[in-house]
Amino acid sequence: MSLLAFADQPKDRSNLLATSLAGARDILDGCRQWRIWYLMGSSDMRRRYARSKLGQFWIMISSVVMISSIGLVWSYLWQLPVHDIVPFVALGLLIWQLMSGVLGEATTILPANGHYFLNQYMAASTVLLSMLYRHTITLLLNIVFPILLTVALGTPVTMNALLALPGLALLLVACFWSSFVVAILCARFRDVVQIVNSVLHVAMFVTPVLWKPEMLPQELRAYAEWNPLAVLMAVVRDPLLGRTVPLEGWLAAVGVSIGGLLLALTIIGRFRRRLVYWL
Amino acid sequence: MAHIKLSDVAVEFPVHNGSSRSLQLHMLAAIGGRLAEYKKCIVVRALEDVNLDLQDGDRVGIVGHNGAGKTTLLRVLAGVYQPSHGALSIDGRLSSFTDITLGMDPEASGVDNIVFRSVFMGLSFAEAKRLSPSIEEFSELGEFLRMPVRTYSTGMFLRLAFAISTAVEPDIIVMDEMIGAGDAHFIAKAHARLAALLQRVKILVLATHNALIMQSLCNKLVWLDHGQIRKTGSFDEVYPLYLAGTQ
Repeated sequence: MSLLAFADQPKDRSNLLATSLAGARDILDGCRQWRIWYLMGSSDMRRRYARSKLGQFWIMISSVVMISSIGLVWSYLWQLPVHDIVPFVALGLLIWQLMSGVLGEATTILPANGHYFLNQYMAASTVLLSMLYRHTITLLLNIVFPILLTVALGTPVTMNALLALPGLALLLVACFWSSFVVAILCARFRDVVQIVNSVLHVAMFVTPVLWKPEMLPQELRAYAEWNPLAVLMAVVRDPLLGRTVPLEGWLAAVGVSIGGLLLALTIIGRFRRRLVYWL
Repeated sequence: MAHIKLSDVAVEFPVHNGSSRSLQLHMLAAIGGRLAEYKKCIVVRALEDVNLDLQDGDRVGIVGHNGAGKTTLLRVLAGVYQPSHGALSIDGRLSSFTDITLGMDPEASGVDNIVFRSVFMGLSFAEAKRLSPSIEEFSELGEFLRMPVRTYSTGMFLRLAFAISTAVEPDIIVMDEMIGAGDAHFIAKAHARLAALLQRVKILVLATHNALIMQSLCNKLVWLDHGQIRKTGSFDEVYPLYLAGTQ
């Protein structure tokens, strides 16, 4: 081992297209390793609920309890009709759990899975996909109750609700790239972990999760439309509530999710092979 | 045909200490010129000017003192570290035996773990299923295979890991010290199985401090010293020089 003291860090100066392609290759490698992330995701879930009788139903039960209590408190607190606010808050909370769960976990995911990266070649996207897979399954299990509740409280069932599926796809793509970028930043700069966690706490209150954009005064409403978290939340939640998402809403969601992915590719491509040296 | 080629490979580790991991210092460095020294960080050069050209039939032993770069070289071959300089090309399916339990889950049963570990080694679910009966038989764990792996003793766990890892047939095997598992009876069996696998495999790269194993398995020796290849050749050519060189 020879020690080269105080040399400049090597910098990758290849062009933008090549870096993006390298980023895309990592994601493709990760998709090709779907068996690994499927197994990692399922065994994570198993570990969490192993040796408990109800197993993964605990996820559902706890969300039912949380939604019912928050919904009731809200409707009393703000004198809002139950059928209006409860489905809104219930769906919003579950979608928020996915967003914050994925981003929060991304802060530590690379060091936590370091032993995989150090023993064989594995695309960095593999561990992120396994986490996203697990959170998606949790959301799909949890969302059954709020959807039933929404219908039971009188929201008409229409074909419009199916638009929540493309909405969910956009949300997942956005969660994927943002968690990837957060994971890279947190692996390199350990103080970003704290920053992300505090930002997430604040973000929940400034995003229409527990309140409706309509409750804001007219002049502030535009702000809620510009918040990328709100944009993504709307394309999943609103179709399920029987509300129509305007075209601008869809365009904004596509921009956040696909446009963001393209930007993220340059970051992923630049740092993906250096990650292992930071673990 | 399997093939490994390394030309002028160097690997450098940035050593990020507290201050270079701090975002605040990086931002200050970007703003003012005075703090620019924070942009620099210590780099450990673990490998330098490594040239290797391995073909079918090569059984390569890597010797060197602690910190000579043996494990780093194995990790470069396994695709873990991308060289910071030089070019690397590897042709053939590679198995890395640096952690033979990678991918196994203590909460799952032995049967499930056979699938898990096989998939981590690059097999499909169907291929893993096909290998399962022979692995189950070799491990001799019988009814325990239906139990969660966390109930196993360390020896049983390693036996299963060994049985799975040696059931897959790669073109290239990369190994950091010999692997083995189990009690007296199983060790003999495991040894025979591993020896047969190492015979079949096209290229073997093994780092070990055990001269006897190296002499019996390897037809080529690479002596690494301070991250550089000091000498390449047969065991009899290189090993005495290595011993003399370390004294």
